[in-house]
Amino acid sequence: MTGPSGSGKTTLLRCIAGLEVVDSGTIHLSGEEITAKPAHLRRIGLVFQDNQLFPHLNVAENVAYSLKLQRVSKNLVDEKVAEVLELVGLAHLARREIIKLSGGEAKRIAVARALVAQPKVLLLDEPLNGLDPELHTRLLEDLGNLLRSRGTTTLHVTHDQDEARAIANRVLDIRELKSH
Amino acid sequence: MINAYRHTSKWLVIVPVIAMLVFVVAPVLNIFSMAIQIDSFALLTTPTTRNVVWFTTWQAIISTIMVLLFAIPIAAITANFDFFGRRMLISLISVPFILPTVVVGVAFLELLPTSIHRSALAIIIAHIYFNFGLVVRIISNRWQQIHPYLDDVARTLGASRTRLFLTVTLPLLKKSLRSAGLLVFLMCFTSYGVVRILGGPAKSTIETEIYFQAMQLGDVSGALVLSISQLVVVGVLILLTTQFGTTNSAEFGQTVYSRIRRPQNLGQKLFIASIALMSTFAVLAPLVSVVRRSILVGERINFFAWHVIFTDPEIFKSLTTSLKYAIFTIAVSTTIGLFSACAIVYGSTRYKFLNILTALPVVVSAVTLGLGLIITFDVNPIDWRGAWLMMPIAHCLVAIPIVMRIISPTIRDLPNGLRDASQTLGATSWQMWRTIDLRIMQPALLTAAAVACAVSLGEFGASSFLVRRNNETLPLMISRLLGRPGEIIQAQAYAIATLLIVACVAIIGVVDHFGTDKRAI
Amino acid sequence: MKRRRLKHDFKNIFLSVAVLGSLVSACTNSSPNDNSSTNQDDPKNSDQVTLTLLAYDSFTPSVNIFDSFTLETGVKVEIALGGDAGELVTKAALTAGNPQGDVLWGVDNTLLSRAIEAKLFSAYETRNINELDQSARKLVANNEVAPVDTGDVCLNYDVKWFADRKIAPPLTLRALSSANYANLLVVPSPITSSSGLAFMLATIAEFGEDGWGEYWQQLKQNGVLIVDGWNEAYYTEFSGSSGKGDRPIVVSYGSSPPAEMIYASPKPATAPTAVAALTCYRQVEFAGVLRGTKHEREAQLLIDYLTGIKFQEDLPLTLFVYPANTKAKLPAEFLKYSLRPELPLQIDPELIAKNRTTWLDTFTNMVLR
Repeated sequence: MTGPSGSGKTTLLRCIAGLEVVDSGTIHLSGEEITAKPAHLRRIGLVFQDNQLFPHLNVAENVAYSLKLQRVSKNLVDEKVAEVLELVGLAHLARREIIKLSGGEAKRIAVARALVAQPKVLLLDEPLNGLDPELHTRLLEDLGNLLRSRGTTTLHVTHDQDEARAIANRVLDIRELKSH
Repeated sequence: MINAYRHTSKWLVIVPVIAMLVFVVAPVLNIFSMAIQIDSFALLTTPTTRNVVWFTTWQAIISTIMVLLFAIPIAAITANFDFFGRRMLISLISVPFILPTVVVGVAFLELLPTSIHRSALAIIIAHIYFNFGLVVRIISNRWQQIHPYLDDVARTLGASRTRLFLTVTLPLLKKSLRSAGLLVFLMCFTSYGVVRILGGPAKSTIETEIYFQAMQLGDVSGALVLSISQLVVVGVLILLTTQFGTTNSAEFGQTVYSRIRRPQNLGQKLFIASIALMSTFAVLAPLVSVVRRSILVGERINFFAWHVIFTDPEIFKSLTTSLKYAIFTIAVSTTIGLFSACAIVYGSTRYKFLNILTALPVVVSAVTLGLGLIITFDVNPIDWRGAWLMMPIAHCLVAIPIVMRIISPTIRDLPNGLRDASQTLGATSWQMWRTIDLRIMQPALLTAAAVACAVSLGEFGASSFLVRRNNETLPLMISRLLGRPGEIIQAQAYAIATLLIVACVAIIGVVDHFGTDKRAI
Repeated sequence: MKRRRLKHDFKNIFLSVAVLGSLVSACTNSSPNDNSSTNQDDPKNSDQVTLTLLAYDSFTPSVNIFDSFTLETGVKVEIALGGDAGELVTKAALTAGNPQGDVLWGVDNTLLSRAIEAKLFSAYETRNINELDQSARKLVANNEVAPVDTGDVCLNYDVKWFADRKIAPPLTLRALSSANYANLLVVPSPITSSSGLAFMLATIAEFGEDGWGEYWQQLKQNGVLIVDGWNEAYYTEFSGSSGKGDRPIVVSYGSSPPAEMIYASPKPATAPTAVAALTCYRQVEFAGVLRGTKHEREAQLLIDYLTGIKFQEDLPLTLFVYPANTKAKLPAEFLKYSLRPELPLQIDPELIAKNRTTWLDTFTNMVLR
């Protein structure tokens, strides 16, 4: 989804994730209406613009967060965490404190954290905003490959039309929606 | 690593260190060297002493835990929701902390069922009453620094609100909880009025024993020996809690977004309403009782006591004295607390001893400190005891440890990025400090100032051992009147107490309302 | 935006006022009397001596009572309050020879020995010595202090309560231990209250060192309520005063019944409370010149004044005690509503000093725990 800054993209994502109460209208996911469903039961992942990694946990613990909530056994947790860290190419940072991560690394960890929960839908709020062009291109490609290989349905929000065209199967502009 | 202010931290250390050395360490050492005798140490081995130490410790621990348990739900609603009367509630719950027990004690007793009068339970309940407000403010301030999106992301990862609280919120609040908890423990451990009035004659703590030994038996040496035991227990506990504290500080993101939102569903509204109403009622009940006693003489309503209050020049004088001392305490203790907290954070680990040094007034028994002050500043021609400064200084000494506990966490977790940003924009160190550090510390500074003011208005510990000439404060006057015969005199005492309560509520309310922007409380 | 600015300004104003306020009070608050007892070189003050009279918190003589003293001698008197009697003596002992004041008012007979042993005072025989109560004078061997007032700590009871139920109130300590009076007595603790201590000493005087323990066991069995202080006992638990408590028998002062009458409004027809005179323990209070004072002569003049008729006659209605000066006249309410025992219970001050700790320990273990 594209649209200029301030057009309500973030709010829309938050509504879909269940973090905002919807004034009117409904949300359906795989045929089921989820408008009233609490956020923690929706299995919809959201990666924020500023990542929002948990400051009190290290990289591996951040990634493992959703698994620990499901009370998955320790061995299985370690295995899945290692797997997804490998996928984003940051296996070597498992024990790192999150303050010490670079912008690109933090972004990838945030995505990894969301992915390991195996969400039905993944929402990305301007994930590549503010990255330098080289990192931008690289991450865009990695992100696309990663999501496709896992078959994760993703709603990628950006103000950058080129970025949208490069990565998405379908592009929708929020202004088209609003005019209905 | 905060390099920017390292060289200034050297200078910041000087004032707090000198203040503490002159007004706490020197008097305490002085009284020890003057009065202590070796054979008094036998007092430490008696079964009475052992029982007393044990009782003091466990009631303080339980009180602390209960205070935290009560404070957390209230902090939950004030940190996260916007509701009618939110700021009034925050101001209101700050009031009990500052009220002297001598005022509220008897009124408090009235509210409790007779079966628990004069019991450990009564002491613990009273401790909760007097301390929960302070903890709520500390925790709430801290909670609001947690970015609301952090909660959101946890929820999208599958955390229910309960799990969110347990796995994200609590760990991030841990440091504040520990800091506030330690402060509350110290207050409960050394509390005197509560134990006397609510615990009754059968319950004694180290502090009441110290008073008894020194004042009733005239055995100052024995009292000092007991205060050593007090220091030891407290010292051990401080070491234990700081031992398990992590040294790396988790950085909090910039709070551009406020956590405070309207409640979204009925469940939340009920939660907020029930907690707000219960805490309001809990705070007001004893206060209403105090007011009632000022107008009820025998069984008849009688406003005579109030008439006297407004026409008696002595009472007006006490009021102005109390206010003057409060202003002094705000200015001095906030400054020293600020200097000290900054020195500790900016100077990295070198100045950590300041933590202990500034906590001394709370740790050292009020009796020891009071007596020490008397005998230290008595050298002619510097006869300080009569000088008006000693009492407000005593107020500051009691306020400083609390001020520090409120300010410290805020500075410690300031993200460095902001300072770097301002430097690149051309700010000098002073400008940077003023626009970044000071602004972010502002809510905590204002809370600290309000609390310091309150502490001063209600101070009835070390300052009560100083001799008073023409400089009686309100709590001292109240206590004095309560000890005199005559129903009208008693009613007058409660009328003055009401004035004190109103003054405190007003000051805290004003500071809260004007001093900070809406989301900072 | 404008509102933010206003708040911002207000904050700055508030802080500036706070700082300025403390600076201003620093400059203007030192009252002219503060330093005059130590500042003798100032020519302005060389004629004007101000004496500091150290007293306990409940020292409330009539305002201006010292005016005639000042007129007579040219010496001003400033009252300094320092806690209760026990605190006063402890602080004075710590500063003996370099005292915080010139004259100390408030050492009582339970603290007398301790005070004299600590050499707190400069002996002085007041010119009014022969008018002072004989038995009180006897307690002081060498005029270290002069007796200034006496009082009795006695059982007070609620007249109406007993009249309504047609029960005779207890008139002796022995009677009090009867099961008929179970759950009717409230007593302040001797650990924390001077009236409580006096009552405990009364029982020791009455039953002896061997018998008092057993007496208290009986009281305990009869459900005696022990509270922290006199205020709580009298104004909360006692049924005969404003607290309207449950207990019709309380340990209080011989002057409490007159006080009830004086302070009651409207005035009741008969006294609501009365004293059991045979249970009374005599309290005596003293005043003395502190050793090391820089104004010894003036301090002695003050002792004369404190024991003189004018000041003594002020005492009953302000401190609710009896003047030590036998020539002083008592107010009507005192004559009408209080009973003074001829032979109140007493214990020698030296004996008290020697055994106080042991007795209190025994009390704690036996009664409180």
